[in-house]
Amino acid sequence: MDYFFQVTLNGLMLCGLYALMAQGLALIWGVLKVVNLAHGEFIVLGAFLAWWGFGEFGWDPYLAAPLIGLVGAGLGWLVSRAVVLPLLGQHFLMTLLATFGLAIVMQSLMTLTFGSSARVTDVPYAATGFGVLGVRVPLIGAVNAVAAFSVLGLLWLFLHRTRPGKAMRAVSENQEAGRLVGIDLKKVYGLAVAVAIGLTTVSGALLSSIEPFYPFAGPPLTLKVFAIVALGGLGSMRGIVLAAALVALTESYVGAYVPEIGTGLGAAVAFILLVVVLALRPGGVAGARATAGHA
Amino acid sequence: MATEEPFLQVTDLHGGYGGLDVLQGIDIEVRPAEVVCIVGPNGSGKSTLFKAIYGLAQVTAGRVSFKGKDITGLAPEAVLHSRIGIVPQLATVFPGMTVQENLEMGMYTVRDKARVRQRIEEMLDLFPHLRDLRSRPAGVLSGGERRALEIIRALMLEPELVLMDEPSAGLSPALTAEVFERIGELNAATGLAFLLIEQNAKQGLQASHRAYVMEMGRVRHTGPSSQLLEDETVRKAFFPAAL
Ligand SMILES: Nc1ncnc2c1ncn2[C@@H]1O[C@H](COP(=O)(O)OP(=O)(O)OP(=O)(O)O)[C@@H](O)[C@H]1O
Ligand SMILES: [Mg+2]
Repeated sequence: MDYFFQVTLNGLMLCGLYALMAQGLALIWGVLKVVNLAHGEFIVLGAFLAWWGFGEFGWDPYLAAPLIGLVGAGLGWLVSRAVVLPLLGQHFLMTLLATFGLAIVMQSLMTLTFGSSARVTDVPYAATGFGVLGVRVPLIGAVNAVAAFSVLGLLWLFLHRTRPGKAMRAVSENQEAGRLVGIDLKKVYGLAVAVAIGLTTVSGALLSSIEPFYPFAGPPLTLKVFAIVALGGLGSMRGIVLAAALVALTESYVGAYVPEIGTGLGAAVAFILLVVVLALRPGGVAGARATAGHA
Repeated sequence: MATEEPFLQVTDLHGGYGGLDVLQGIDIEVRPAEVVCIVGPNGSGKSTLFKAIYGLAQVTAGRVSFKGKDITGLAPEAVLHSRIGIVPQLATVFPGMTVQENLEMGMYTVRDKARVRQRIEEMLDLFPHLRDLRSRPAGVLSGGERRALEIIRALMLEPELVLMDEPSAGLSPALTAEVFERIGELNAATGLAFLLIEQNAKQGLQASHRAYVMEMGRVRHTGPSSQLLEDETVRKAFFPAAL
C-alpha cells in the first residue's frame, strides 16, 4: 500500500509541470489557431538554458527560471514576427510546415551549441527528501510542483485580471468579435506567442533537474503535450490541469506496475489515454463545456 | 428631428469579398439623430455593406465618410474611434467571458478603469435584467439576453452612430419590441443615430425615419419609412408576406 501511495505521489508531483508544459501549446492554439510543432524544442531549450546557467554560473534552475522565461518570451516574439504572423491567413499546413522546420533548425543549433549527449541539471539537493506518513517526498519534486503551480497561478491572473490577458481570451473565443471591439490582432498574436514560449521555456527549466534531456528530445515531448491539450479540451486551463494529472498518474502507475516495458512507454501512454478518453468522452476530461465555449 | 448636414455618407460604394463585387454602387446617408433602416431580401448585400463600412469586407470603389471625415476602408478599431458602434449580424459575444467582461471588452480601447466601470453601470440600466447576470459566462445567456448584451457592448464607447445588423434576429416578438423601444428611447433622449438592417420589413419601417430597400447589391427604393410602408410596389415586391 505504501508503494502505491509513493507511486501516486510521484505522479501527482509531475502534474503541475505537465500542465505548464501544455499551457504554451494550448495558448498558441487558442489565440492563433496554430499548432506549434516546435513546442517540444522550446521545452528542451529551456532545459538546456537552465543546465548551462547552472554549470557556467552556478545558478539554481528554479531561481533562474524567470530569466529563462524572459529569454523564451523574447525568442517567442521574434518567432511570431518571423515565422508565424507572415503565414497567418494562408493554408494551415503552412504554419505546420514552418514550425516543423523551426523544430529541425533548433535541434541542429542545440546540438552544435550543447553537444548531443543527454544532460540533467545536477542540483545539490537532487537526492534530498523527507518522509511524510510513510512516503518519501523528494524535495525537488515538491519544489517543482510548487514552482509549476505558482507559474500557472500567475498565468491565470494574467489571463483573467489584465487587459492584454482578457484580449487574448476574447480573441481565442471569437476572433472577429475581437476585431470589432478594437483589438489589434497582430499585437495580441505576438504577445500570446511570447507569453506561450516564455512559459514553455520555464517548464523546460523545471524539467531539467528531474529528467534527462538532449537536443532531439523535443518531438516526443510535443506529442505528449499535444495529447494533454487534446485531453483537456482545448482552451480550458482546468481541463489541462486535470488531463496533466491523468497523464502523469498513468505514466507513474504504468512505470511502476508494468514490468520491463513500463518506463519505456513514455509518450505512448499519453496517446493511448487520449484515444481511450476521447472514445468515452468526446469533449475531453473536462467535459463538453470547455469546447462549446470555444466556438 | 433630422437636420440636413451630412453625417454618415456612403457614395457609389462597390465591394465584396474578392472576386465579384457584391455591392454594385450603393448610395446611402444617415443624418444626425436619424434612425434609418435597410430592408431587402436575403443575400442582397445588406450585411456586406456594413462590413465594407467597418473594414471587414473589401471596398473596390466609392467612398464612406462620417462627419465629413473619409473613413473608407479603415480597420474596425479606427472606425470605432470615429464614434461608430457596431452590432454585427452573427453572434459576437465572448461565450467564456462573463457579462461584465464582455462589457469591459466593449471599451477595450479605453484604459481608464473607473470610467469603464461607470459606463458599465449606465449601460446595465438600459437592460436591467442583465444586471443580475453580470458574473455569468455570456455563453449561458438566452438568445435575447445575448442580443441585449451585444447591443449595450456596442454602446460602451459612446458612439454617435450605431450600425445594427438585424437587432431582432432570433428574438421573440416581445423581446424584439423591447429592443426597438430602447432604440427609440436612446434616439429620442440622446440623439443617437442608428442605421439598422431588418428582416422584418414592417417592424423596421415602423421603427425608423427613413429607409432604403436593397436588392442584388443596389438600392432600389428610398424614402421616408412611413411612405415606403404604404407604397404599393414596394409592398408587393419586397415584403408581401410581412404585411
Ligand atoms: N465572407 C464571405 N465571403 C464570400 N462571400 C460572402 C461572404 N459573406 C457573404 N457573402 C456573399 O455575399 C452576398 C451578400 O451577402 P450578405 O450577407 O451581405 O447578404 P444579406 O443581405 O445580409 O442577407 P441576409 O438577409 O440573409 O443577412 C451573398 O451572396 C453571400 O453569399
Ligand atoms: Mg445579413
